[in-house]
Amino acid sequence: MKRTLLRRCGAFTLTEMLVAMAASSVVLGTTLTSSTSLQKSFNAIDSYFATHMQQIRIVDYLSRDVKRGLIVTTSVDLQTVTITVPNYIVQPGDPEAIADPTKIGTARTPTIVNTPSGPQVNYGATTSTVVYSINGQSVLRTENGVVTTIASSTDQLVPQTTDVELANTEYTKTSITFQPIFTLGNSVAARSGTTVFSTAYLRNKRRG
Amino acid sequence: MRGNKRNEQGNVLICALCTIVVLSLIGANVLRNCTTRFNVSSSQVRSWKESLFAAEAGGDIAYAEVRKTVLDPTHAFGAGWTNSGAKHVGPVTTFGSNGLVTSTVVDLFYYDPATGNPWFRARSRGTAPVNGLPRTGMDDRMGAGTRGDSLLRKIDFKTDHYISTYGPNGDGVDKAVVPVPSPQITRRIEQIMAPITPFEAAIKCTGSFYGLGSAAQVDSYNSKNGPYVFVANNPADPRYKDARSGSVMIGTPVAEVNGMLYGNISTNGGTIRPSQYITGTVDNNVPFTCPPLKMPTDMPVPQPSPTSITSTEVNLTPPTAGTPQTPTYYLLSALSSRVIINPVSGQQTYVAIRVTGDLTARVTVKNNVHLKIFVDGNIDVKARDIDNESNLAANLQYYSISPPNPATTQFIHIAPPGNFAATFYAPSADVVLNGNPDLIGAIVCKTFYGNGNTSWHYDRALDTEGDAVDYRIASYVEDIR
Repeated sequence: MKRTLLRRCGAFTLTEMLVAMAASSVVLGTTLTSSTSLQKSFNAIDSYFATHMQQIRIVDYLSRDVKRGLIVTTSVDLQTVTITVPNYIVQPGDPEAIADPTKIGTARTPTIVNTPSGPQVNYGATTSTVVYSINGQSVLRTENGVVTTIASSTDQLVPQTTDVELANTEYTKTSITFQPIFTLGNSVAARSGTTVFSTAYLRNKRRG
Repeated sequence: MRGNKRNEQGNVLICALCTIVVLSLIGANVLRNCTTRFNVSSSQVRSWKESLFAAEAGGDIAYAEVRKTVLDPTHAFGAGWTNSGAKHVGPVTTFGSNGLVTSTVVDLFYYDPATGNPWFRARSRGTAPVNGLPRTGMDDRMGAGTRGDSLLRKIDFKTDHYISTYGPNGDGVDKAVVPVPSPQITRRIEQIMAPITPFEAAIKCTGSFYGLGSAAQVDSYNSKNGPYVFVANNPADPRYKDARSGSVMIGTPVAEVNGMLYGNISTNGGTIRPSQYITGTVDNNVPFTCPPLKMPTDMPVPQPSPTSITSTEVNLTPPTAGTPQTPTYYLLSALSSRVIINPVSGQQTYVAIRVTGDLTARVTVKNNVHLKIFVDGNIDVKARDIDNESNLAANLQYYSISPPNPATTQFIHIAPPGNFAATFYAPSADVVLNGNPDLIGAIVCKTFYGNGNTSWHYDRALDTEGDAVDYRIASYVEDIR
């Protein structure tokens, strides 16, 4: 009985151990490599879609402001967009607010001014300026000095906007690309394949 | 040996379980991310855009009603609208397969001081339900204290953030926490609807055109810069910029154009070619229509007398000077004898006359008088009968009310002798202009025939004169709060 037990508890031979170790290493290595690859792939996909969501956000921000805009101007490098929008809401410091502080935060009643090109609808004596720009890896929206980060990415998000002036209106064409994590030799197609296009028209008669 | 087998089975099970756990975790993460992002991109972005579509649909509904104030006054702001003075509250309208909701408030906020035409403001809100998971996206937080999507697309998951923060009218009054039945996005826009005045060209006819004489000329000037002087061939003159807007618009291909035209010409399918006799552009592809003219319904109560002027000359001095939107109003069954309209104590005096029959009489308008004559029947006069002492065309405006039956013929005949300064808006009338008058003004009509060597001077100040014949959206702004 004792002998039998001893034989059962006997160790593997050195050869068996080496084979077992080698086999285990292969299995573990494969598992680790697969897991890491899967994780990397997951991160890349996650990043791709997260950046895509930011593309949509930039487009939505821009189209909202362009639609209500009076003038749109893009810089030479097409990466800074300046939009003049009506001052719809009375802000602290505005003449109406100084005269009557209860008007702060209320909508203005527009005034009508006759100009050589026809009557013009004005909300207040001045207008607001909204600027879209790139700062490092972030896309910023600045309205009257107030800065909002609308997209922040390490994927080289590049919005490019062109403004096209027509007789009575204007429209902007925007394309936004980014560099995905997985690319084949940093090919151009990797970036261009991520392009989101957008076109937005001024709803107001162009003033600039 | 049995024991060894059991041990080996255990190892395989653990390995398999570990692998399944790892793969499941990765799969769950992928699924979670996909679902959340799909939720944002498919549902929330869509709802955000749809809510703007809904708001703009509300604006379109309001615009249609505002246009009716001119085109179909008796049905403007009718069924479903709640009217209180100058404010009109539209019905809550649900439409589309996604259950979009819109409502609009329209108010008359401004009268044009020169014409009395009302301007309308339409504030529309559009709401779209947000389907899917009631949560913000996983990319909302841009950094410490910085929001992304939720700063742009303000979703009302439980309560209406706008009413609780700014009040139902956005003026800070009556703020309240109002629960929403299900997650939704609401966007608000404001549109300003401006009146379109009729005299945008020297001659505008929807039907055939013949004219003018071979030695005629059409040019323009601006009465705000002084009386008419011919400078259309003198670029050095500062008034030259206003001298070449004597345009002609023809709504059919049937057009025979003679004389010198210092302006543009357009037809709808015609064959007019650029020539030395046309200084502006030629466009043969400009369709347009002029809707029938209906009598405005916002006139004040008419004066008790006179009710017709048929036998003797009548001097009319209104009891008050009036304003462009509330002129002194006379309702006449006939006007076949001379009438002279005097100002009230030298003030700018505004008068409107409606003639329910034909007009064949001389009408004299003294300086400082602004007269609009609405004629249900025909106008048959000599040019000298259009007697406007100020020589400002805007001060004497003829309007031919379209016959209820479109088959009924209506005409305006202007015969020699004489010159005149006036405007005619007669979208259903056939206009015949004979002789060689020197005239200042503009004509809108159905067909036009003029065979004389007329000197026609369009006044650019007429751009903003006249009764509203339609409306356009002049301003758009979104309340992004």
